[in-house]
Amino acid sequence: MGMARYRLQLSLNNQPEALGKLILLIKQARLSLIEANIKQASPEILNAQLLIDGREEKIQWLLNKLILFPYFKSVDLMSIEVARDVQ
Amino acid sequence: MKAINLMVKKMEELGVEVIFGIPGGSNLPLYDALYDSNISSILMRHEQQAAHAADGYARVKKRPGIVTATSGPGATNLITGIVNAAMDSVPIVALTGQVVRAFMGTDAFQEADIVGLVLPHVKYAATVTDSKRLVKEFVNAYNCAYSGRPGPTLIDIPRDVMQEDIGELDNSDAIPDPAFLWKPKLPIDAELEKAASLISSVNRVTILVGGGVHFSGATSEVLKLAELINAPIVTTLPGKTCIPQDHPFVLGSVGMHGRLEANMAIINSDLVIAVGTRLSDRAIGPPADFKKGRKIIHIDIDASELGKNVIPDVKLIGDAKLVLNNLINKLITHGLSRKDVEWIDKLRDLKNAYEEYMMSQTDESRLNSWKIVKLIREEIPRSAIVTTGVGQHQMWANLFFKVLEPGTYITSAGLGTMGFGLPAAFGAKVAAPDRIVVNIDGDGSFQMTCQTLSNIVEYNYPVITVIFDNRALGMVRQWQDLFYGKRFKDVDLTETTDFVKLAEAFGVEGVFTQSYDEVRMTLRRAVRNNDAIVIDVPIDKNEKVFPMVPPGRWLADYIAPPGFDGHGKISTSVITK
Repeated sequence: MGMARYRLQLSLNNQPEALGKLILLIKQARLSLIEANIKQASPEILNAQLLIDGREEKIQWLLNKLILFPYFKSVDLMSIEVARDVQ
Repeated sequence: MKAINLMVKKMEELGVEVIFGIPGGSNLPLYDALYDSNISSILMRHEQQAAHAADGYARVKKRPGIVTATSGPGATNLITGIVNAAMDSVPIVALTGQVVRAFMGTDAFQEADIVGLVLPHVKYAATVTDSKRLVKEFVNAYNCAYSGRPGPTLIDIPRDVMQEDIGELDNSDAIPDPAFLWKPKLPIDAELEKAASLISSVNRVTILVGGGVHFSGATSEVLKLAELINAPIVTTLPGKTCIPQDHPFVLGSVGMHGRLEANMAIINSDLVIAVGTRLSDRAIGPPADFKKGRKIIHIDIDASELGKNVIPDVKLIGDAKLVLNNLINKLITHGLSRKDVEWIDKLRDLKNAYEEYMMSQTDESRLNSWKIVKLIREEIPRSAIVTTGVGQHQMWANLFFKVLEPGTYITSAGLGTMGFGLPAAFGAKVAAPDRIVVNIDGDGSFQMTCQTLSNIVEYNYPVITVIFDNRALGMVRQWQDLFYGKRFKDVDLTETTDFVKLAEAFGVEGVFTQSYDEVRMTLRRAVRNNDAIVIDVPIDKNEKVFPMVPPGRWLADYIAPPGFDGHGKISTSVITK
């Protein structure tokens, strides 16, 4: 499978554990974080937009994994660049 | 009322019966609240053992085991047990005390960021800083641990949060937040249809059962499917507990130290139906080899497992019991004709040949591990629960112990935690005091957690321990022997440790045995009297576990026991690919 760049849009609990879990899952998926933009949507909720690079199946894994954890309210994924060779 | 008293009250309402742990400065308010509750507390000797005991308890009860530790070292000592539970998908809830809020972040005495430390390995962890949230956080963590794919959760509670007066319980605290309510997914009909068509189109189907079948309670569905399509059943290490091995279709465990006939079933299959397993490297070898020449239907409750290690041809997301029932109905609708069973007979021939060969090995001067395992099976009731440590003895148990009733075999599979066996056995005995519990252990594993013998005596939960005593870290030694040119380094353990005296020091009877008859009679007596006992069985440190698939190699690259050719069955009758 090829490498791809995705924009990940999340709504998550406004707690350090949620952000920590997000970064740890990106690490576990061996993805590269290119850009992160995190804003408070309400005192309880954060909105995050991440730009990530990695193998397509790993990004799919991340998406499936995120929704299992109660820290995350919603996850959307948008492919913005594909078809670079596997490194 | 104090927040912690309300939390304990809620624990009672949820049916929590017992909590394993050790008190310390930061979780003292919890113990003070337990003083007035109906929940039993068991004072373990090390927090790792408490976590393993909660793990063993949870596997038997099929509900969360609860463990507590104080802040700092108490909490960090839990980590191995928490990660072990994560790797084997076991629901435990850890309650850690934390330093008071004003001291958090100051490197205060016994302060450790336990949430940060366990976060990669838990389904949920949080530090509760608002006392009004404490009950709700517990309810959330408890629910999260067992719903969906089970696993550990942790609630870290500063001491002053426990002690704050928050009035009475709010009714809304009784139910978990929506994010913690797992909703079972129904399998997609089109995928079921694809699966049924695939099963109908191939000749040789093997069902690979993982640990997910245990918590799903899908044993009868697996057997029903196997009988419907005439498929042999093989298991992963955690899957071993799910299937009665006296069923004629069950061949045993696959993997690095799997049974030859089980690995052959995978090697010779056109299609593998994998149920509740993450398809780990130890079970299937390199994914590319596993996938080559065969189709895969993967059933799992955790969608992220489908395609993680092996990309399946059909993905069926959902609870194993529900998915299998739907698949069976679909197959019946399809009017599936039963498949040829000739190849299963050949695999059974190989199974019998291997057992006959191993049992025919005679050496008057030493006891053989596999014969001891077989003897243990013969002497304990069908319903007895067996736990293991980690190492060669565990692999011998994997090869020769036959599970007869689902849920009776507990082992540390994913993490491979030496020292797991005895505390897990203790936890299992707490969960099922009327059943015999036997810990099959190695001398290396046993010495890591043997203080649990104190608990066995103190709380009168008698566990039988059989130590396969080769005075070595046997599996590591085997690897140095086979793959490091016999350059043995730091694998031999001292000859001077006396396990009989060690057991007696804790108040448990210890017996050194020198013959099969002695082992048998000692074990028989302990089972009859429901006694706690440590049976020390000397094993030759040069004994190696075979078959073995070298690390990183495909299942077909196994090393057979020296001198065993399966009466020609391996090379001629069975392998066709």
